[in-house]
Amino acid sequence: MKRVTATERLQRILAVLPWIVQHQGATVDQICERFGLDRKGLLEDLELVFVEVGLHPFTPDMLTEVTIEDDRVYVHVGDYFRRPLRLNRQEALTLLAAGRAVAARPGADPDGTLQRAVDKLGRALGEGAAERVEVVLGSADPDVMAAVQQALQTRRRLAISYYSYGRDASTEREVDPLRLISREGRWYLLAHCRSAEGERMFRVDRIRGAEVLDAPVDAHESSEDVVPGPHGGERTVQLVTGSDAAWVADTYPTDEVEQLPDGRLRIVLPVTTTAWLERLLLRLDPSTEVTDTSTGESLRPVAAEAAARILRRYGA
Amino acid sequence: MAKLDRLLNLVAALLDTSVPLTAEELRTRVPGYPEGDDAFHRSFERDKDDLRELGIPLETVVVEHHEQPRSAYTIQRSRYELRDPGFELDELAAIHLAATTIQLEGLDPDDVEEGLRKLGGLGPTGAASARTAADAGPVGALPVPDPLLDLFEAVVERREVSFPYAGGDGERHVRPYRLQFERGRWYLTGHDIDRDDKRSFRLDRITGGVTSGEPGGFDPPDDVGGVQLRPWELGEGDPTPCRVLLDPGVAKSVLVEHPDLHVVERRDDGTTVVELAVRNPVALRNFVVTMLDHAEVLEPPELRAEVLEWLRGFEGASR
Repeated sequence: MKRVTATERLQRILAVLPWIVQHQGATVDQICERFGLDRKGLLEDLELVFVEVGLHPFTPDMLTEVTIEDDRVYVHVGDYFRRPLRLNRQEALTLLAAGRAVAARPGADPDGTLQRAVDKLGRALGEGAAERVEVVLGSADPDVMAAVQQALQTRRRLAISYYSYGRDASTEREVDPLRLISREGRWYLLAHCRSAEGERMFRVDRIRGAEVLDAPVDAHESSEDVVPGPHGGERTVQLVTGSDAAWVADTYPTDEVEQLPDGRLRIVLPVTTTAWLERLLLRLDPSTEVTDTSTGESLRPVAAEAAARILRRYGA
Repeated sequence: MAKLDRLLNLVAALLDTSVPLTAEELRTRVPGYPEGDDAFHRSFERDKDDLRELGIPLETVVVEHHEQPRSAYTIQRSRYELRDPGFELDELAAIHLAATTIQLEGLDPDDVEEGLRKLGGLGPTGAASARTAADAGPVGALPVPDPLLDLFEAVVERREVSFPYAGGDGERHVRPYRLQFERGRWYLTGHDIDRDDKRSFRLDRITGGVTSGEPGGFDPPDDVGGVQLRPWELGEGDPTPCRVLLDPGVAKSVLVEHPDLHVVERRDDGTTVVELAVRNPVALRNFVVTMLDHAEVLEPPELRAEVLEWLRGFEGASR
């Protein structure tokens, strides 16, 4: 067990003692369970408070009185310890951000227990505090989110219609859901995809429809650390473009970013699918030079073909 | 544990006193300090640091009633004591469960339990289900960029702040109203005092330390609003209404991501027409071309023509 420092114990005693004082006669077990303490630790804390804590000149009337009878605890202490210490900012941020994040999940009950708890936490921190911190873990269609959560809870198979952004195509798949995860402000469903016969991360906001099936999920060995994103077929692309394209390096993972003597930027980055590259190039100036770093081939025709396709749609 | 006794008695003495106490006065009232002036002062300085580290609002005031002015210390109860929010056990359990599924990167996970003890407990059912959830690992992780804790304190305590910000000279002076985590980033929205306007800032673009003013430095407006993640709306002047046709596939994703968009028409063929308020035509173009040939600017003709002209530039580039 890790060693508890004096300040950690101080913090614990300042938090728990006021509750014990207000709930005279609570049993040692009740206190331990409520505060997540072990019996030995709690008894040591109470003993210390009993023997050592009080006010100058430490005459009996100035000392703390602790009685334990039939496992019930009675504490009398000066009113200086009548309320717990305020939350410090780390504690306040941790609890409030987590509470707000989970309460804001698509489909969460706006009048549920957690929302009531978050409102109270806000009042404890200061008027309006809860509303002034907002955490969005990801956007999702509430119906899709509800189906995903139901499938996870009941361990049933899920049929999804999934839009692959990289390939710019929709597919119908059956998946065995494993976990729901938020990363970088997006919800992902980690699932065993029966079509791909392997674990995949699906962005929940790209699941266009989801239906919980009757079939239960199969057991799968879950692997650690499946990262979201494209599956293979990666190539490395070099862009030489205007300095106003610095946002590219801000937004996407890059291998190299360099400012050239003429002021333009040279950016080297991995690209997984043609549709993704098309979207990137159509947002950069048409004069951008783009080459495949392994073949040296110019990829400008990729942008030209995409532009032509869109122009056809406009009938132009 | 001599140090723990001493710290507890020090806190009790400072909470109980109605007048600030000097170091010498505390030395006589709190047992357990070492003999010798130097050793006492070293211990006392460390104790003060430890208390402040825990977030105990230990205040220093200068008292004049001695021959020479001296520092004296006190803890004001109004700043020490947690307001009683009257939590029910199931509410504590719900917060506990949430806090075990969402991890704040770089903060001590023990903060969760320490905070909950102050609020009245971890919740017995909560403790068990929180352990089950913790076994599965956190569901999400929030980054904690350097300025976040200072800005959080400033937002909650209504302190004005200043900080250096990328892409500008000098410090920005802001009344901080609201913090938001969106699309993987933290944003601060507030009133930029020098520009006399509402502005949003990305925390990862704050390039140095945050300086905070006194608590209660301003009253935030009732309706703060938040960061604007519809880039085509950013800019000066009156917005131009612009209608965009979305194919069935992309329409759903766009409306999930921007639930407040104004939907003008849902056609029988499954396409959707939305109306955007455009102040930044380049951002509109970027938004539309990322949907490739699944979206089309319908009107006004000027904005439609701008998109077409941009796309024609790429046809030339291939030759």
